[in-house]
Amino acid sequence: MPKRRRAALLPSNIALLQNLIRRDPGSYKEEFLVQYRHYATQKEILATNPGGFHDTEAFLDQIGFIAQVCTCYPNETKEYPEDLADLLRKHHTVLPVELREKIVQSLVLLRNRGSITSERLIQVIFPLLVTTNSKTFRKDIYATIVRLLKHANRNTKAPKLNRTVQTLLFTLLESSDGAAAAPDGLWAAKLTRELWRRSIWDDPRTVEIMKQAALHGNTKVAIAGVSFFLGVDREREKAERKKRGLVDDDNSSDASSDDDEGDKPQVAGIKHRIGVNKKTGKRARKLEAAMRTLKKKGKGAALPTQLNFSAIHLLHDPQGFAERLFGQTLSRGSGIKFTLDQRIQVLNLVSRLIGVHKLSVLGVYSYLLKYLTPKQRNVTQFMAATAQASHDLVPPDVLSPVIRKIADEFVSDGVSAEVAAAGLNTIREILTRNPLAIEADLLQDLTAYKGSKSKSVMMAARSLIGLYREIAPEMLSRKDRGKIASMEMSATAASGQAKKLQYGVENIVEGIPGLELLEQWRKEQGLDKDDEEDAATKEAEDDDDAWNIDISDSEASEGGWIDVESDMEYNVSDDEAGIQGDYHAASEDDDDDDSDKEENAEEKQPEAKRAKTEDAVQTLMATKILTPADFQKLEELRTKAGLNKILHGGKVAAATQHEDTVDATSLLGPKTGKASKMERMAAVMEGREDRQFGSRKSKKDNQPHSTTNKEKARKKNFIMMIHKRDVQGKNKKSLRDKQKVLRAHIEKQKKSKGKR
Amino acid sequence: MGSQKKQKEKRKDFVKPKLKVGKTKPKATSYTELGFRAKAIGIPEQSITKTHTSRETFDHYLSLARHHSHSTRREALAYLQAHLPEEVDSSLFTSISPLILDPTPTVRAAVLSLVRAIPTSSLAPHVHLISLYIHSGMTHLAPDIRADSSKFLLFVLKAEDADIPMQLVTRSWEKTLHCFGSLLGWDLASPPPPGSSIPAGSGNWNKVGNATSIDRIANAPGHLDALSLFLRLGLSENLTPEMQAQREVPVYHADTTKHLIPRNATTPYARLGLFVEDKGRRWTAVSSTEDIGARYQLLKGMLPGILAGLDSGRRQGGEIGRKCKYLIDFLDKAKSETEKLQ
Repeated sequence: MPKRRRAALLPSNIALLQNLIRRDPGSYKEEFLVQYRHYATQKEILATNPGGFHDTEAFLDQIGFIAQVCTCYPNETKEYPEDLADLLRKHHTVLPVELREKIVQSLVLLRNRGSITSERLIQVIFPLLVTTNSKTFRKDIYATIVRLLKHANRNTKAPKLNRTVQTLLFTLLESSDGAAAAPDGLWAAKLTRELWRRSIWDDPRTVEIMKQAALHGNTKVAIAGVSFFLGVDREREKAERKKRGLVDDDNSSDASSDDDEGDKPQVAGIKHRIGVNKKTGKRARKLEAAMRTLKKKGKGAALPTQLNFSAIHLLHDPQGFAERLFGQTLSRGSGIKFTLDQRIQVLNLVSRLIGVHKLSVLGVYSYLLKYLTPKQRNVTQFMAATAQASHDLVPPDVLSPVIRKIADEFVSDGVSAEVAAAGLNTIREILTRNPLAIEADLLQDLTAYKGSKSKSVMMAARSLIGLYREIAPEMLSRKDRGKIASMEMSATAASGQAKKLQYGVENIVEGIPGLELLEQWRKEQGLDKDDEEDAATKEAEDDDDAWNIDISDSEASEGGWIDVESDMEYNVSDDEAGIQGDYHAASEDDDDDDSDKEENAEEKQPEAKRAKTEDAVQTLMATKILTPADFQKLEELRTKAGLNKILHGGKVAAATQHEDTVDATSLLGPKTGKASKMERMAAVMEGREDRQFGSRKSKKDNQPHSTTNKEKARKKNFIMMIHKRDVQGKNKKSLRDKQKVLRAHIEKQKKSKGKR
Repeated sequence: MGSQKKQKEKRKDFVKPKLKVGKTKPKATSYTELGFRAKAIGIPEQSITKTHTSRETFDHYLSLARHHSHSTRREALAYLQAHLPEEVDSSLFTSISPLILDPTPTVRAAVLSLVRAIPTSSLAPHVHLISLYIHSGMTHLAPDIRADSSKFLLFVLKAEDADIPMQLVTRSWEKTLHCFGSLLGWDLASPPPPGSSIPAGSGNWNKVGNATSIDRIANAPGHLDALSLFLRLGLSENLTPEMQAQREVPVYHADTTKHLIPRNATTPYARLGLFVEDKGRRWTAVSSTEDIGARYQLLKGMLPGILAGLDSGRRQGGEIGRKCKYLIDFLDKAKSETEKLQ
């Protein structure tokens, strides 16, 4: 019955017909076909004069309607998507704006309905992205493409689609490599960057696209590519964090709404009831259950961290890339002109590549020489690039002229303190990465600045001293070496083990520092024998004791997480074996405890004994697995022996480690003195971001509104008011009333003043 | 009365300006700069006697044909009809032919009368454009537009210049037939199942309760008139005197006439579809339907659907029944004739 009644309806407008068809496609097939034919005739009319087509609205409806219902009649509408694509391809420049948008929308709809594939859709709309000259249309298409890719890659990656789009981007970049068609390539770079930022694409192929963009013949495209490598990872991280924040919000708001929302107040409520009411087992159980569910939810919310490789790490053939980038853009005679800022960006990327992948692009260093003068604009950027570009596999004779130049230009008597500090800091950054690039003489000259009156220069010089105390104290002048470093030096000299820095020799971790102390302690305690005697069985019993540290008996009162400290030891052991000197510790902690002397005595023991202990250490490492308890004991022993003094400082450990990137502003050293007015204002403004000041009233008044009654009353003609009782009554008021009014006025004045 | 500030301001107004030797006298506040320099002086047209040329007014009314108010549109059309120039150019057709699909009946009527007033000689080159809109009207969603479409079609088919209807017949034979199918509610695409005289559903005029079909029946006589005229033009060789004359060209071969360019045709090579973008699609305006044989071949596929529709119409009786009967007879005759030819 209802079917027939519906059939009796005359579909007078297209929306109604669409509704009817949705409910009952079979009955309304005829009507649909009429509409489809009508669409065809309209399309023909459009084809005769696409620009002057004036019945746009009806045609829009027609297109939307057919797109909506075409899944009901797949056979009849086989050609529909291609028709639309044709229309768009041929006439997109002259079609009315709404019609163009509608066609794109309909195509997207058809894709969602599965009438066309994503690949086909991309193939249709992608060329429009670059060929259209309408800004809004381009924006639309861009958003559509991004949305499509995001959708396709949501649950699992869609390799086929990605590959199609990437190929399109590649060809776009390739075809636009002439200077004339440059903006096209820019679109490729923009799209790729966006997709990378959203973690939709994170494969090496994407990086290849950007690599090609960076090597593009057009400046804009090249800079887009370069800035991708420089900044996009941070961008992505930010986006990820933001997204995660949003995801959490989503979880709490809409996902399985009822119990989720109810959870937290529920727990609080139950707790309150337990506090107030009689305590029963049932209530306690309820609380427990609530807590349990809450805990479960919390576990689920913590997303697994994604492993994301940075774009620079995913590069294929970084050496070739860096060489081409340097050759094409920076070295003389390259065709393209870059501004200084752009050159700095490229240089930054090249140096990053060199630093991260330890490449050898030797031209960079001589190129940099030209720019390393204090008067050069943005010289800190160049200095940062120099530091980034140095690593331990750069031949020292290539780097030493750079250091010499910096020392000559920046660190001399004639220059200001700020410049000298920057120079020293840069030199330190370079030497951290490649300690061999300086001769002892120059180093000693530079360290002489430790007595400078300027704090920033003094600190920079000291940090240089601190660095060399660790890596090569013999290069420092005698009094700069510090106590611990010189003791270590004399000890190694005595044992003949003195390690000299050598080009190309990597630091290898040889053992756990201070392990011989542990070995000795174990011997003293007679633990070794124990272990050997009752082998596995007893060990199994003792296992728990060994792995769980008894907090009460150890000195460490923090409790828990003792592994962290053992981690730190590993860090330290990356450096020269054994003993480190902290310049702070050395300069300030002049009073020594007895343990130092003991250690001193131990160090001077003959070689034979040393060899013996080494053997013992070797056997210990070979035979025993060190438990956390062992590590703790080791820590204790080291502290006792005075070896550990620097470990908690942590600064030295940080000094020898270096980041991939060097921040240009950090090279200037810590800012001393008062902040200027501008800096202060900047800080204030930063604090004010996203906050609105001012009274609510002023905001209200500033909004456009009609005259309020109050305003009308205030502006009312004096003559009209003079005879009213309100006004005349003022004179006739009793003294008491007058006083009241006066008081109130005074009160009000005071209040408003107080507010101000 | 008045604040100090106001009084101060007042006082300032009456301060006598000090004149200094060697300095120019300060200008009064009310001073107006009178000297001007102009490189050219533009004098706007100000003649009251000037009248708009008839062409300008005509164009103005042409633009009014797209006015949003239907009464304005109607009046504009009336004006255009009254002031038709000798030679009508394409701008008239491009602006009035969309009005075939106008939602207001009076406007459509005005368009019809305007088109009738246009001399056939200038109508001929634009038949294609008009027919596009007629086809669109035949498939339109609004029933009254659909109903009126056959009036326009009849007008085109009855045009004095024989070339005009023949253009429609030759260039869009198949498409027009399809449009008739949707206009009359016949299913032409799929042949009816063998054995059943009346195809289920669409061919049935008496489909109970379907509002579309009720509306259809009311307008059926007009549609059937148009259809019968269309079929007659398409299927029978009615030779006009001009075509006779063409035949009398010295004949070197029996088929010579087939290879001559029709003397009167405005678009003789349209069938080749040289300037039509999408070839080989359904419902294209152009399909090679130059001669009766080809047209009949195309009709043949739709014939069962048409016959079924006509048959059910004949059973209705009355005017519709008579017209259907006539058409059935005509189709039978045409069938036998063409088959005889082949």
